[in-house]
Amino acid sequence: MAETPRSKRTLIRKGDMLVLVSLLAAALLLLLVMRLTARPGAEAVVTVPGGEFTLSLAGDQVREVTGLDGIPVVLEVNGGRIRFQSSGCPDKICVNSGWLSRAGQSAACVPAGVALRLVGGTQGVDAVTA
Amino acid sequence: MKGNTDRRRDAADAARQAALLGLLSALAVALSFLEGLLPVLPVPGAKLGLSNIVTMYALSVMNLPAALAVAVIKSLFALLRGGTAFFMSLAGGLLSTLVMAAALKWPRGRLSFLGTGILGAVAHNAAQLGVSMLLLSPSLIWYGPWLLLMALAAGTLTGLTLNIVMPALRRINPGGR
Repeated sequence: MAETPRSKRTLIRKGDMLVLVSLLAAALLLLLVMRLTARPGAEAVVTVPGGEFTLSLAGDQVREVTGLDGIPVVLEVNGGRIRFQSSGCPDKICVNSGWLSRAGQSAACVPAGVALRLVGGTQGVDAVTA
Repeated sequence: MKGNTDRRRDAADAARQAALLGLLSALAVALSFLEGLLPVLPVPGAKLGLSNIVTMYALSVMNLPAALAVAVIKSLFALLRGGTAFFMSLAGGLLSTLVMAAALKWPRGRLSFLGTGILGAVAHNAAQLGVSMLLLSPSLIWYGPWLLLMALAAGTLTGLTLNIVMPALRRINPGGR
């Protein structure tokens, strides 16, 4: 046998708890910091094959773009939020990403080469996207 | 000089190791397929890394090269889902395997498979996030804390599972050593 069975077979050791608790605390702290520093997004920077454009989140609209291989992608802006409403991609990860509303959030449809990135209204300090 | 009996035993052992490697690789591929049926993660192409349980087992009863081989073979199957998926799977698999190897070795006896699995899952998701940031957009780092939370859940699941079934697996001893 590669390893001799240990005499005491505990399911959880002290080291395990240390790892779990410290990483959990780190995750919650990061989420809290993000929550406190996040501003509502004012516009979305949309990257498409061959360039990018911005969509204001102020007015509701539906915008259709054509991605790589002619994949149709529909973006929907509604009430200050934006989402991939539909996409001709196989996996629909972009659509499942749901609504984005805060500066710094992003979502992407890899097969179509279309990505969304929300930026704040005022020229914001955005260490994340810098 | 090795005697005939020794040589025969070596050959049988090598065959058993090869068979086990194949078995574990198939298991890793199957697990990552099943995982693909779960609700998607917010980062495009990212997976939870439940197949870490297989590489962790390979690390425990075989060795680091065998575990890395399982990770690479699993990634080759991700090629079916495209180049991005392949790179994300490869990065996640290799980094988590290395981290778990270090975790199993370093604080001797202080971490069970639970802590190891958590560290492996975190490494897996961190690598996947890193690759997707490189390939897509740096702003995806926004998902970091969420991925960290999901890694904690996935790692706890894989680690506890292995903690529970390992005694039984040791009795069956599929590695034959």
